[in-house]
Amino acid sequence: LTELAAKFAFAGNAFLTPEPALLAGLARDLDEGALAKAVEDDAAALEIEYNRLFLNPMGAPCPPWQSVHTDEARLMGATHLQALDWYRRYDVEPRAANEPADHIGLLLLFYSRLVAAEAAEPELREFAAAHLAWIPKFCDSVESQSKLPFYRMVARLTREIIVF
Amino acid sequence: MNFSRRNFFRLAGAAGTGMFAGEKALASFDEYFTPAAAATGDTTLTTACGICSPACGIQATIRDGSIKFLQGLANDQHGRGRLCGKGAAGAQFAYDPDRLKYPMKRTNPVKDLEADPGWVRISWDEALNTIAAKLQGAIKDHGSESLLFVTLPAPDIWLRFMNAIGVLNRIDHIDECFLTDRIIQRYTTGGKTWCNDFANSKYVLLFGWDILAKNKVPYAQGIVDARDNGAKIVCFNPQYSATARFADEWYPIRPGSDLAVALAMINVIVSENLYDKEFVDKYTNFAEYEQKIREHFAQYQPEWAQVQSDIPAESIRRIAREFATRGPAIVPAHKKTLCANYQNASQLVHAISILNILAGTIDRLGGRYFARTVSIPAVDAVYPPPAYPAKKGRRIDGKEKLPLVLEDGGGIFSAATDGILNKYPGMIKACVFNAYTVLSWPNPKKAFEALATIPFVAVMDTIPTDTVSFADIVLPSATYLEGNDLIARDYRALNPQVVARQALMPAMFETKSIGYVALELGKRMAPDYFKDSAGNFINLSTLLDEKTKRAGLGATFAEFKKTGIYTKEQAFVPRTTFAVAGGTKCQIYVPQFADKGADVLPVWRTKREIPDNSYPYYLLTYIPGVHKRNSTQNNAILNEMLSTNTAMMNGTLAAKLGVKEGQMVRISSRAGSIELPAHLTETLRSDVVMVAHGYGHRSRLLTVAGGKGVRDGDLVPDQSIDEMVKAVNYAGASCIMDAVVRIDPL
Repeated sequence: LTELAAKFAFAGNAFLTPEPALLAGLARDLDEGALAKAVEDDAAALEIEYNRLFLNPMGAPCPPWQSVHTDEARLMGATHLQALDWYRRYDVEPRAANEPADHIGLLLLFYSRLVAAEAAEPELREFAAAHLAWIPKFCDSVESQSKLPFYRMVARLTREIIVF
Repeated sequence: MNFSRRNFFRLAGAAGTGMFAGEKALASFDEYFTPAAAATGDTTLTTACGICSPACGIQATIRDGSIKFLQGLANDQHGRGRLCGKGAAGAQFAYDPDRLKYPMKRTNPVKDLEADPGWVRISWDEALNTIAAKLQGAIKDHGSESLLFVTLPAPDIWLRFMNAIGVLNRIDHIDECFLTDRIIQRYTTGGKTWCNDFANSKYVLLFGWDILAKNKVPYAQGIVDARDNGAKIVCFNPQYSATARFADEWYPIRPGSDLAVALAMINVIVSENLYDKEFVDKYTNFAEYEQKIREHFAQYQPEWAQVQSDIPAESIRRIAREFATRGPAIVPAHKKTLCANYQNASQLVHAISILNILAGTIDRLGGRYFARTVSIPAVDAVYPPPAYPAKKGRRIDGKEKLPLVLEDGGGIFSAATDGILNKYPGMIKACVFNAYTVLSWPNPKKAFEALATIPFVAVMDTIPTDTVSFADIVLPSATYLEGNDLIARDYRALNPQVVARQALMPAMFETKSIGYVALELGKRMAPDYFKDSAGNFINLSTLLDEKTKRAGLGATFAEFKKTGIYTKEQAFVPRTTFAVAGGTKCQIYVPQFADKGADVLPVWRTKREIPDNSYPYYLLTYIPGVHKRNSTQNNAILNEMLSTNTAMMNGTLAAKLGVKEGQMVRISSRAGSIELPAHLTETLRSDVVMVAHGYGHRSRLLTVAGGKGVRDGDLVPDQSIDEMVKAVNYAGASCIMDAVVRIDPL
């Protein structure tokens, strides 16, 4: 369980930051040598690729927020509020109050914590159904769009661990 | 507390003990999450819209920090409790997934539309330091003429920044908008005004202006008021527009011939002595120039105008008589849909101004009046600056050749490309765009070529624009929903009124206001201009408090925003003196124009382009009512209402061309060509094709607007300042609706 949770947490981090040292460290800590190597091989290019995919000021091919994929094309909508409700049930909320709570990275991190905390099966299923179901398709898009092996690997890893 | 919740917290302690593989990843949770504050539930706040200039009042419902719903503010005299589609969909601007979110810089020096700029995030400090250094360097090495600012002269502190560093070359879109009107009203009636008292008008005459589709709420409501109160509405427009449908009479006028009709109306009113004698004698210079005026307009008979315009002479004559005698009557002249679009716009606006003067309705109920307003001091009044440096150098838009434009101060988009590429190649070394894209310029393709020659470009905006592709630094701008300001009413302003625009939420991501950028660049480049009397740097919220206090709205902005609206009921006292440049009377004949390359009385001049064998049709462009220029196409809700543009044409024309509904056609002009599907409509003359503006964004990855529609601007030739001078386009019209085209079925 802990290992599964850690993988979710790693995936969450990979979608939240392009910091090579951090990501390589997390991957090694997780005994994911190939992932760590992929980070290190492209350390200099990681940030540019991350920004191109997710934060592109010319329009991002893979916007990392759930609402864009499951609601109308907007941020801070219903899925943001629902995610916020989930977090608050556990007395936490994202540090960045002026950013959407349904960022893929936050959702994966939160889920990892639920898994690690051995949350009841129905609860895990409920959260996954509400907030993770869109992610496999998103990962398809990351896999096809990414120019770097690392993001393709992260996409595959994420898709593998999300099982319904 | 259930089991998993207890464990959820226990993990915080377990992490970091080196007990298991992957613990570091698990521990990273605390980097991104923090103990929750209490949910806030629903609150309502008063604010003001920021999509277009009437800035209608808004009552916003906020749920847990995000905007749930926007509706009109009841006591607001602009919106009167209503919002247009754009305003109601406003939250979408703040929540656009494509929003520019963080300051970024390019790492790939190659600038073209295909190359990946290699964006990396940078801090605001680095962004501001870089921009300040680049601007400073350009000034030092090449003089301040080497800077180009593409921005409105607002807010006041941003203007102060530009003045403080001596920016000479500032351009904005108003040559496509109200520049002609502002320049000519200054000499004829005493300054620009957006106020038309439709509710008390009995006769409303519209040259081209589709007032309903324009969708500014005070105007749309105004024309409905006029109708309800029994006014007659007459419309000249090549298109059977939304307003035409609402009018008593509609005339499908030949594009660009409105001036002929206006001149002939003046002919009738003057020769038959139908004008408001009391007003004209007392408050205008008619008597002084009577003979010249009568002689001049004698040449413009309605029969002559019929030949130019396709409007029957008898109709022109009757409308002129009704207009002069069934008042109060009004010809509103306003913004893009009329004033700017033809090469003879300067003369047309002058003629329209004369019609309103002859009707005797300048600053009268039922006419065009000047806003009764609350005076809100600008930053320079609150904190007087040291003397600004003189602005020296060559003007990229060449406007020193148009003296009236030069004294007005507005910059010209339509001549900027020619300036950058041909007139002064290499002169511009650093450029700052704020809330504008070259998509608004005529011939954007050519504008891209011009942009590519500028070594340093910074772009501040809310969403990706085409111009971002050329940017070295991108600054993410906060939207109007995330900022504070005081908004005085100036569209429906019989009573002075101010609405508080207040931030409905913290600015998203790392977005900031242009005021912040002005202050921070100012501190770096011209610190003496950004200090208060005690020698401390200006603080933006203290400045707003000071403005609030001096305007008599409250002790602080925080206090005023609680009510959020201030209205002073007062009786309407018509003006008896008019703040006209050079006097106190309205001017029909403008003697000052003689020295300024302008016609002292409006002279018939043709539009820029006349159909011929190569380009047999007129191009009309329009902005759909659900959109604002090119800034709203990525709004998912507005995009759903009208997602793309078409080649709108009459069935007769389509049959002649062999074009069916939905068939692709190529429209070509001397500037370029576009391909788009035909849409057949009986609402147009059979010699025009009409295309909506604002589509065809090059940022094809835009979630909503990407790849939809084509750019009408690709058909519109830009112009050189010399051509404008030669054409006596003295008030700087951009001619964005003055192209002729051919149409080929595909």
